[in-house]
Amino acid sequence: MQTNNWEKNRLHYHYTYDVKNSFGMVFEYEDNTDRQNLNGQWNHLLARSNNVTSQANLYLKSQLGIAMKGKRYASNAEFGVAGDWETRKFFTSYAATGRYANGIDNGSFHQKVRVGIAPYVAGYGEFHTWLMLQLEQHPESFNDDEKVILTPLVRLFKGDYLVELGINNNGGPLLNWIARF
Amino acid sequence: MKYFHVILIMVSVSLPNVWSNSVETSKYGGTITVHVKGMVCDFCARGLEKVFKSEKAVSKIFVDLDESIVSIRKKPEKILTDKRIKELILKNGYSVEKITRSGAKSESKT
Repeated sequence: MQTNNWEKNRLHYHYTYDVKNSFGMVFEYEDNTDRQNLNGQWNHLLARSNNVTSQANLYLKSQLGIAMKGKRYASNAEFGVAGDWETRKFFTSYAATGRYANGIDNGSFHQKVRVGIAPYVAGYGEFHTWLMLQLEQHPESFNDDEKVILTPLVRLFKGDYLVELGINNNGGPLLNWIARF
Repeated sequence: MKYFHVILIMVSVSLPNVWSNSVETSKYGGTITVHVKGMVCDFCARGLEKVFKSEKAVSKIFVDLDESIVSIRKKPEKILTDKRIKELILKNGYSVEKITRSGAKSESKT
């Protein structure tokens, strides 16, 4: 999985151990601060609600690793909760994340909400399209323009490949892709 | 007469198991339809397809998101129990609403 946006470029390799746990390695590079993070990640499914026409999930996400900024190194920790609810036509998700790297930052928090709609309902194996709106809040950001970011995006997927393309209200691009093996 | 009653009870108790085994261990193919709850995302359901395809008793699998069903074509001579199907569905994070079987009887005539 790779995510690229106004804030960071992120490469993520993820292994699903079982239905409740997945483990991964994450490498991030943050353009604005010239900071790099190399973390191990553990995602845990806290709760899932399966219904005939919908599914809802609640996850606990945690990362531990090292942060590098210039010649400085520090231990890095990230913890968050994420939830989503989706049908074949509608999608909504929320994620809140806090992080702390001793000596590099004093801790920060951000949250993100997404809503989406499928303009058409595609069958299994067909080409799927979702139109989404992502709203992020970064209260500790020094730049006022980056405290709240709105990103309209399109999610496209077929088979084991998914891509998301968007541009935020500051003109910053978003490019995410996932390949499933 | 006493022994007759004992035998009758034993036969009655074992009949459902005999019938159940005859379905599950049928040497013929047949289609198993699994009604799945929570299967709303194509991208997420890929894992379900992969798990069933790697199951030795499965010949083919069809996922229908519109009807929320997974149709499984079983290999002749192979066993695929409801218990195993439920395990595989749960392993992928979904829930089973019901399982129905068809086709084995008609194939037995050929």
